[in-house]
Parts: sequence; C-alpha cells; structure tokens
Amino acid sequence: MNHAPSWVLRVDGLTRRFGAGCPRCAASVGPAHERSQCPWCATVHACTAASFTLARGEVLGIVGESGSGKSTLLQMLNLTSPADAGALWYREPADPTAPPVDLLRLDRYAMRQFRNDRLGIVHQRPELGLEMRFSVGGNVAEKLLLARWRNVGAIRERAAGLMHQTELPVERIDDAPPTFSGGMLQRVQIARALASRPALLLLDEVTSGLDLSVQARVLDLIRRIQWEQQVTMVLVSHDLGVIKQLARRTIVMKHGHIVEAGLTDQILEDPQHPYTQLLVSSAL
Amino acid sequence: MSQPILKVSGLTKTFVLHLIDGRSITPVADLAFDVWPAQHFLISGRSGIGKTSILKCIYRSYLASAGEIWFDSLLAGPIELIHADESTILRVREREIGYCAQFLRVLPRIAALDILAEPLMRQGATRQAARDEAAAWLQRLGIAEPLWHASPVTFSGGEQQRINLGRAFIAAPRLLLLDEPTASLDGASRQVVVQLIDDARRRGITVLTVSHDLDTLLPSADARLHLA
Ligand SMILES: Nc1ncnc2c1ncn2[C@@H]1O[C@H](COP(=O)(O)OP(=O)(O)OP(=O)(O)O)[C@@H](O)[C@H]1O
Ligand SMILES: [Mg+2]
Ligand SMILES: [Zn+2]
Repeated sequence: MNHAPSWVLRVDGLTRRFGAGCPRCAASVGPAHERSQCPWCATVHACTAASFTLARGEVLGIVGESGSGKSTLLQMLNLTSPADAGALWYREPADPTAPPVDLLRLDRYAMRQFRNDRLGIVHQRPELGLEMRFSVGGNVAEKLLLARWRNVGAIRERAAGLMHQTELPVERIDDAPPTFSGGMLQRVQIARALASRPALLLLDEVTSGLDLSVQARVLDLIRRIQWEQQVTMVLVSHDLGVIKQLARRTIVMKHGHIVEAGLTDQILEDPQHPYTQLLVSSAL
Repeated sequence: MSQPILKVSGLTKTFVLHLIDGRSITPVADLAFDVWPAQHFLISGRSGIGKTSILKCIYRSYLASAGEIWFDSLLAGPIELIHADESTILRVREREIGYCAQFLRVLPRIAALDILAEPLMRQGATRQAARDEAAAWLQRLGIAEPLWHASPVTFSGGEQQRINLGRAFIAAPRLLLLDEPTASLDGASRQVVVQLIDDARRRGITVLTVSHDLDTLLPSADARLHLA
C-alpha cells in the first residue's frame, strides 16, 4: 500500500555544453550571472546538472525563456544529443523487475534501437519531424519499420489506425505532408511518434505558431491520448497556459539550470524563484 | 476517533515578492489547530486575513514557510504535507483531499457533466457509471438539464459555484477543503451547501471550511477558529 509509484526515468545531473570550457566557467555562468555563455572562453553551458524523476503515466512540463536549455535537455532525453555528464536511468514499464539501465551508457546501436522502439518525439516545426517527400502514411510507416515491424499489411493497418486516433482523414494516407495544414501536421507527427507505443513521448513546443483554435484541438488530442493510453510525457513550452492544461508537475529552466520544480499549481500560484515570479506575472 | 485527521502546528506563510524589491507579506503566522474525523471545522475572519492561504498550504498549492501539517492518510500513513514528495501529494489529492476553490476554474470545451464525471473516472469508475452519478449530482444541485452538455464557462455565477461544489463533493475525499462555498449563491442554494456538508459528514467526510458567511455556516459547524 505504501509503495511509491514506480518511475520510468530518473534524470541525474544531465549536462551539456558547447565549447571546451575553462576554469572560470563555473563562477561566470548560470542564473545568478544572468548568462549561460562564459565571457572568458565563450563556452555555452546549455544545460547544467538537470535532475528529476518521471513517474509512469505522468506529464512533466518544462518552461523557460528562449535559450534556457529546454530543447537541449529534450534532445538529450531523445538520445539525439550527447551529454557531457550525468546519467539517464530508465526502467522498462513493461518489466518492473528488470534493473534500471543508464541509457547514456548504451552503445550507439543499442541507443538508436532504444530511440526507435521506446521514444517518440514531436517537434515544433513539422519539417524537423517529418520527411516531406514521403506520404503521411509513409512517415508513420517509417517509424514502424525502424521499430522492426516487417509485415506490410500490419504496418498499413497500424498507420491507418493511428491516423484515425489522431483525427486525421484516413483517406488522405497517401498524400504528402506539404498538402496538410499546420495543425494536421502536428497530428501527423503525434501519430508517427506514437506508432511504436513508446514508453516516453517528448513534445517540444508542439502548439507554438498555430492559431488558437487549432492549438486547442491539438492540446485536446494530447490530453485525450494521455488519458486513454497513460503515456509518460515531457512537454516543453514557453507558454504557461499550455503547461497548466497538461502537466501536473513542472520544472522551470533559466540559463541552463533548473531554478524551480514543483506541482504545476504551486509553480503558478506560489512561485518561489524571482525568475518564476517574473514568468508567471508576465503570463497572467 | 483516536487522533485528528489533520494536525496543523506553527503554520507560517510568508510571500517574498522578488519583483517588488523583495518585499515580504506574512498572511499566516504561527497558526495551530486540529481537525477531527467527520468534523465540520470552520475558519472565519475578515477578508484578506489569510484564510485562503491556510487552505492552499494544506492542499500544497502554496509552500508553507514554516510549521507542520500532518494528515492521517489511509493510502500513505501519517504524512507531513509541507514536505511530502510531489507524487505523494498527487496521489493524496486524487483520493483523499479535495479542494473547492473560491471560483470555478475549468477548461472551456468540456461539458458540465464531464467535469463532474472526471474525478470519478480518475478513481477508476467507468465512463458510463461516472456520467450517471454526475447526472444525479447535477439534478441534486438544481442545474437545469439543458446545461449539462454545455461548458460552465458561460454559466451564471451561482451555477458555476454549484458545479464547483459538485466536482469537489462527488469525489468523496476524506478531507474536503471549502473556500467560501456560499459566496455568489442565493438563499436557497446556500441551504443546499449546508445540506451537502451535513450529508458528507454523515458519510464520514471531514469538512474544513473558510468563510465569512457565519449566518449560513456557523449552525452546522462544530468547531470554529476565528482569525483576528
Ligand atoms: N548546437 C549548438 N551549438 C552551440 N550552442 C548551442 C547549440 N544548441 C544550443 N545552443 C545554445 O544553448 C542554449 C540553449 O539552447 P536551447 O535550444 O536548448 O534553448 P531553448 O530553451 O530550447 O530555447 P527556445 O525556447 O528558444 O527554443 C542557447 O544559448 C543556444 O544558443
Ligand atoms: Mg526550444
Ligand atoms: Zn569559460
């Protein structure tokens, strides 16, 4: 009765910098210095010692201003950007007895396979997540092929099912992405990301740049998927309104550091850090 | 009834306003009280004295600055709410501690019926069962049937407040925190609130109310803390 809900991912001290660094970096960058770039060696400390735990089926929000390191962190979680330090402990939800593995210690092949099988990502710009020359169905199918699906009939059936789930017109399965609207393309990305039934879905500013009504529909879809499938998600957004709708826990980033973490309603109603207070007061 | 369900001691809440020269406000200072199972505990006091802050510290929407808040949880044993980890708080919120804010806040596009059904579904009820029970509550709260499938965003103030209360009571938490439950209600609806509280207590639910509407609520309260 008294056991803690099991975690899927435990992020421990994840760090990424661009540049070689110098002895003066540590005393020159971070929120206290209002910058993430070292004035002495020009190294950008994009993400420094990020730590948090993700419980199974939960949605974690990440907010912060432009350049605060949100996407860098997400790319490390997606295993598409290397980390300079830290660990990424993963526990397979389907097999709770298996010992946790540090994903960053996997070899390149295993890392790629893990990404294909267990991760899904939706980018702000559809052209980053989709191959524009393939059909929409082809984009979904590609993710399935990467996850080692081999039966053509099963792949097509799954692709059509995913289009239906994400409220896309299945009869347009053979059309190319450029003929779809922005909101539809985000739904195509979501369909592709969900194809292999990932353990973790990463969402990077998925509704920025969409009209409000289209935004609402995409957010409703994400909420429905979360509700029905209990997918664990990390949701990056600079829009606190989006975070509030979807995430029950939130972390706030500034200049590569997590400056505050807590329940989303607490972050919004009783922000502690000066930066969070500024963020909240600018949003309301 | 061997121990309080909620034990508050030394509760202090200070807000540090970093955007206004780091000025600080302390609406709650060194407060202590115990709430016993199935009690209706009423906290009164003038507007601005910090009543909402107390409830929000208990619910953890606010981080208390000092003190202890012990909650006798069935799920997790006795837990200290100020320092409990976030996943514990979320679990306790789903099952054991309910909070009815002063004003209804809902997403547009979600029907009143579904707003009331949601807490039940979170607790594991099927959609159909949850909606049936939600309908019974809407009936009881006097919400006209044509409104059930509309979003409360366009409802009148009193209708919104009844949805707000319905959503809190339907979940049947062990401890229910009510913030000004009778505000924006007419006389008849205020009496419905009293009935809801009485019924809840008969089912063993503990109710902690903050309000300045003593005329309506004091008769049903069996413990009162007046802040001055
Ligand atoms: N490949 C790179 N090379 C050099 N610097 C980089 C690189 N990627 C990111 N940065 C720097 O790291 C910092 C964090 O960037 P990141 O893209 O993670 O920010 P973000 O929080 O996602 O911002 P936004 O809200 O604008 O998307 C920025 O200063 C950025 O210029
Ligand atoms: Mg970004
Ligand atoms: Zn340096």
